[in-house]
Amino acid sequence: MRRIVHLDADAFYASVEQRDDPRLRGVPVAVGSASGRGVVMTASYEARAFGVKSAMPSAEAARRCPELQFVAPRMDVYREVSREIFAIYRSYTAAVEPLALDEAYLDVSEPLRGPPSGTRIAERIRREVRERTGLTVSAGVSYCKFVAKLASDDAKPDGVKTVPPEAAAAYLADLPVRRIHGVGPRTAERLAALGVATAGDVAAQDPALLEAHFGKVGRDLWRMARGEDDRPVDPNRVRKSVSSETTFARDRVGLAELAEALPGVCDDTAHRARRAGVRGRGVVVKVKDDQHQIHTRQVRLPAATDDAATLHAVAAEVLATRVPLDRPVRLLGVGVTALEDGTVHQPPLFEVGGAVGFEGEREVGRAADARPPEGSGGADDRDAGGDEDPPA
Amino acid sequence: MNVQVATKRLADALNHVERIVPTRNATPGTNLLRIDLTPESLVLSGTNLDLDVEATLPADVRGEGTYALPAHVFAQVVRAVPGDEVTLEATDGELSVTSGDFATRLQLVDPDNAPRPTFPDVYAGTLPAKAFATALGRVRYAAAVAEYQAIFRGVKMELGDATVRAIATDGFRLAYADVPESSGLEGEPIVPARSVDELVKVLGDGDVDIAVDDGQFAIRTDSVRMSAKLMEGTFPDYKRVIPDAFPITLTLEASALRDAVHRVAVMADKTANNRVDLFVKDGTLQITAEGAYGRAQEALAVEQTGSDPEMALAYNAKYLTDALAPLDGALRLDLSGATSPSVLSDPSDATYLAMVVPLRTG
Repeated sequence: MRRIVHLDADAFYASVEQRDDPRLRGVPVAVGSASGRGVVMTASYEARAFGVKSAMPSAEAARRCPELQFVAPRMDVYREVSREIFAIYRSYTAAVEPLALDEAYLDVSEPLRGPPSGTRIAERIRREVRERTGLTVSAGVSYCKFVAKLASDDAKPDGVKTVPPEAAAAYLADLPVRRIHGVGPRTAERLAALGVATAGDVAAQDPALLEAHFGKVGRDLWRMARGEDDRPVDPNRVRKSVSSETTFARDRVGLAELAEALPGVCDDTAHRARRAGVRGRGVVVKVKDDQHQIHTRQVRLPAATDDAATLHAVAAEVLATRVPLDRPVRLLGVGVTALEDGTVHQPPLFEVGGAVGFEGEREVGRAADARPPEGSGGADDRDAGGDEDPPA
Repeated sequence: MNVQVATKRLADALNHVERIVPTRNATPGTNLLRIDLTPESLVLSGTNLDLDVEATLPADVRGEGTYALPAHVFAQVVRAVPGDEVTLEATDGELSVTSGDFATRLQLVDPDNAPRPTFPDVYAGTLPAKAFATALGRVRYAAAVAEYQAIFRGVKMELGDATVRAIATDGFRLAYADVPESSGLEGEPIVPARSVDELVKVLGDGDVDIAVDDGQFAIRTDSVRMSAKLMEGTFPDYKRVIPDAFPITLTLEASALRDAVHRVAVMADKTANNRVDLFVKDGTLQITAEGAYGRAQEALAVEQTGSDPEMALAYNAKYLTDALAPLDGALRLDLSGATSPSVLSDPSDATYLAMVVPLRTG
């Protein structure tokens, strides 16, 4: 049986800021832009107590928590800290698969050093990271990636949770379906209609029935719910793209309706790219119509980007001119491809307008257009693409 | 109608118009050429909706009227005719083109189907045509190409009291070039770079009349009028981003740096910003590049002044060679730092300036 550890830093950007500036310790902190159209990239645990979350519009965050301290992101610093943390991980095993600047899977079945127990190695790593960087990472330990990741979520903040193979069935039995990777509100709703609320319920279904309802995804879902996940920890996995997509609660008709959803999707994609520490030279726009016909269009940029405003300008242009929109649209996605290591990049000449020449203020991680009113897309499913491959 | 005209004259005039006429008839009528007859001349015109072009040529004309036909077919015929003279005759909805022993008949189209080009009535400004074309040509490379880059796809013209300045940027580098004369006009029109390319092609010797009117920038030469639709939007305040302090200034031959960067960049990784590294110290500029196929380096002797002893920078090689292309003779390379814009200019000629933002590497 394998020993897989999922490690995830606690409120990574915010913790780095609190570490480096004593005045920020113990107070609610949001990394991101404070101004009207900014979004929160990471919120400290003090801020989370007020309901502040990442990807939340800054205005909303400030309303929930008037004392919230906004701090501009320092990606170069986060990248440097990330290098330190990964060096520690790699001293325990060569099988380290990075998922983001602050997140990784480790296969410690045959560790290079440390005790022969997954849980004790995880504790050792956590202590070393704390001593060397002053930051806390939480760990989930199990026999597969899927369960290890769920366990680290439960362990947060600053904890370890181990789910041994024999405990997995009981652990998954009560797990709400929303916590299964790839299940958004819309899928959860459709599962609920089948009387399925937990992973245990999914596991009890006939896989053929799930496949009939959800296609291939249905069968993947069933396997995961049963704790069947043999995906290896792949240290050489090269991320090819970062994307985000939204399945609409109600199909959107025409460019104007669709364009409303674009800033949110672009924000999300940019956020994921930054978290992964990559920029892309290609932008892909994906639209699925009500006949499940998928249209994707890709454009090349003059310089790689991880900027939401740039993505938004590009995607809006592509959507308006190159994507057939004669049918109602179920799903909208925006991705960046042709990824480059985020360390070398071509910065823009102007703060205003970024690299895209449009008018308006350029915001950190924020597209220039107004976001649709809070809740208008409330039941839409937002999913990551490219972050993780589903189990085979 | 009956028109006699020299083949070469007709072909040249036609060329100015045909070049801008779209090959696809995406907007109905834009593939058409209009022919207007006056007693001594033939007036050819067309549009791509961003740019209207009209070319006038002297001809022996009998009759009058306006005709229209697909521009590209007519141009192909005219370019291919065997004789030095062409006779055009319109009868029964067809235009017959005869030259030497060759004859063809082209279907005419109702001229109401062809968009009517519009030109200002008054051209209140003038500029030396060659100098104006040179200025536009020197900055053109810096304009953006991609659809989504909005205002960066235009060339801004600052029509001032003592100079006319053309400015282009794609958001990563910038260039401006001056004509050190007043045009007699004021204003800051932003003209699509594609239209600028066409303007430059008709600017020859002598003076060119110009007009800024009603959302258009127009020029008039002896035989051609062009009117470009202006872009709407705000051009960024480029003066604000020109650095004012330079810890290191280098002077060297522009062509020496251009050639060295060009050679070294063969090894640069085209998929990773086409990076070349520059390191300057003790009057030597070291240029290096490294990519999947190997590495290259070259050292240049430079005149080095300034407060800092050394500096290391990285650039997209293409941005450097593009910025250097309009420069002959001496180059002044002002380095403001590894993460702020570098400025390229000619120490003896203030009419051209280029700015390039170095790559961030850390």
